[in-house]
Amino acid sequence: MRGLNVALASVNGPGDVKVSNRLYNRSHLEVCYSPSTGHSMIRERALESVIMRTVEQAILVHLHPRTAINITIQEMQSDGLALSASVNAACMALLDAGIQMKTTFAAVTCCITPSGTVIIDPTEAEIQESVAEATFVFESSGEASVLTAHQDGRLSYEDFKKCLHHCQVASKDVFAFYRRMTEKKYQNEIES
Amino acid sequence: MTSLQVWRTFEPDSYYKTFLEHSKRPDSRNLSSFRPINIKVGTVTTAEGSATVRLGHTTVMCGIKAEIATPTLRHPDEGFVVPNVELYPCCSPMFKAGPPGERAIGLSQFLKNVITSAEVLLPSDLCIVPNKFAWCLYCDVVCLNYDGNLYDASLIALMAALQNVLLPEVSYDEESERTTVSPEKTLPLKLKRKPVSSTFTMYSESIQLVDPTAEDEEQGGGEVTLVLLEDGSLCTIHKPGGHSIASNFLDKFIDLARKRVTLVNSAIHKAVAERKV
Repeated sequence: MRGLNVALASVNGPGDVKVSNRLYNRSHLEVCYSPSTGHSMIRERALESVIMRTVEQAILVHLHPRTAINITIQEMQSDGLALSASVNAACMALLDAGIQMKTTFAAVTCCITPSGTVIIDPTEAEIQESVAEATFVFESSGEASVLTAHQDGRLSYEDFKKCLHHCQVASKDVFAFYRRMTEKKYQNEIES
Repeated sequence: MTSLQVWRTFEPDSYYKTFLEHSKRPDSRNLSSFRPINIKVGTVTTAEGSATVRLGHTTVMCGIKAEIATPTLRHPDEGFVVPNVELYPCCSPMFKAGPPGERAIGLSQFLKNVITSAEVLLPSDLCIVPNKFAWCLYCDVVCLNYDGNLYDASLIALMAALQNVLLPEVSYDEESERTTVSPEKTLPLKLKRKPVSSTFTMYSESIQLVDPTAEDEEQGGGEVTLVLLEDGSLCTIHKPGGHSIASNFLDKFIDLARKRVTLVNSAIHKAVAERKV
């Protein structure tokens, strides 16, 4: 949940897979994204593809050959941050499912106003007014390398680097949140 | 079969790696050189605009058909541009017959994003009569031969086809509510900007290859596409997953990409001019 954006993610797997999708050396990943309103169109299918390729880099797929891992994301409310809310929800769902990952990942969206101010986690209204919008997904390693990047709108290269830097700093908050939530979950389990 | 071909068939990974160790690719290109581009405009005579582009062996054809549609209620003075990419089994064994797969949909969405971000065409320019009639440009991009780098090839084909489009003049008589389409009087589209994309594939942390072939894409760990405008500003950056890369990943490519913008746009301009003659 980021501001007014709510995404619900669930993970099923590693489990049975159709013969046509069975891979001898790794798990088959499938992402299903449903928007809050309307049918699933090409925008949603493209989003599924991006999320799948991002998650593929984080999960240790080679540990589960001939299986399938299904990630289902339901967008409950959207206020402009569909991609980043979904990616973060997917990461938390994977952590909750206990699927082995080599890194956690965090998505941050920012937009840049005509005056050059970078706004992290903008609302839909702020995105409409902005000149460009960018979403980055970072790994939790030391140098926070970029897993996924998506930028729309027109901006100079220097502004792009500024956005990237601000998002990198903001991603640390997201990783801290993951840690807090996971600690809370296991603390409850230990106590009960 | 020569021993080199045997090596390539049975050990493709080590074959490829050996080339990279000498900073070359199997097709003898450097890691940062692009393939030659060949553009022919007006190849589909039944379409309002068309172009066929060859990037090495990758062949992509774009045909644009214009239809008159009713604008939406929310945007009554805007027309539509609908890019649609088809990857048929004829172009590569990777693609199966049936509804568009993940790659085709990703490409269609990419083309839509580029057209919207770059504001290539003002949707209001496609309007004929607000609330009643507007042009809807169906841009069908078909891959005829797949050898990597579909992002660049499809965008070049789309831009070249858009510059080849001639829309008939439509006049609307308010009193009689009749529209007359005059096919003899045709007008080209007013394109505000001409974006050009450059793709590179990440083989490892330190090795990146520009303009990947199908083999490069298979061996590599993901592609990054940069779309730039003529003034050097960034229009779209598309990195859908793939290997993670350091945050200064674009520093090396921004200059290469900028040079490519002028090269590609002048090639398209030449092809369009040739057609007019």
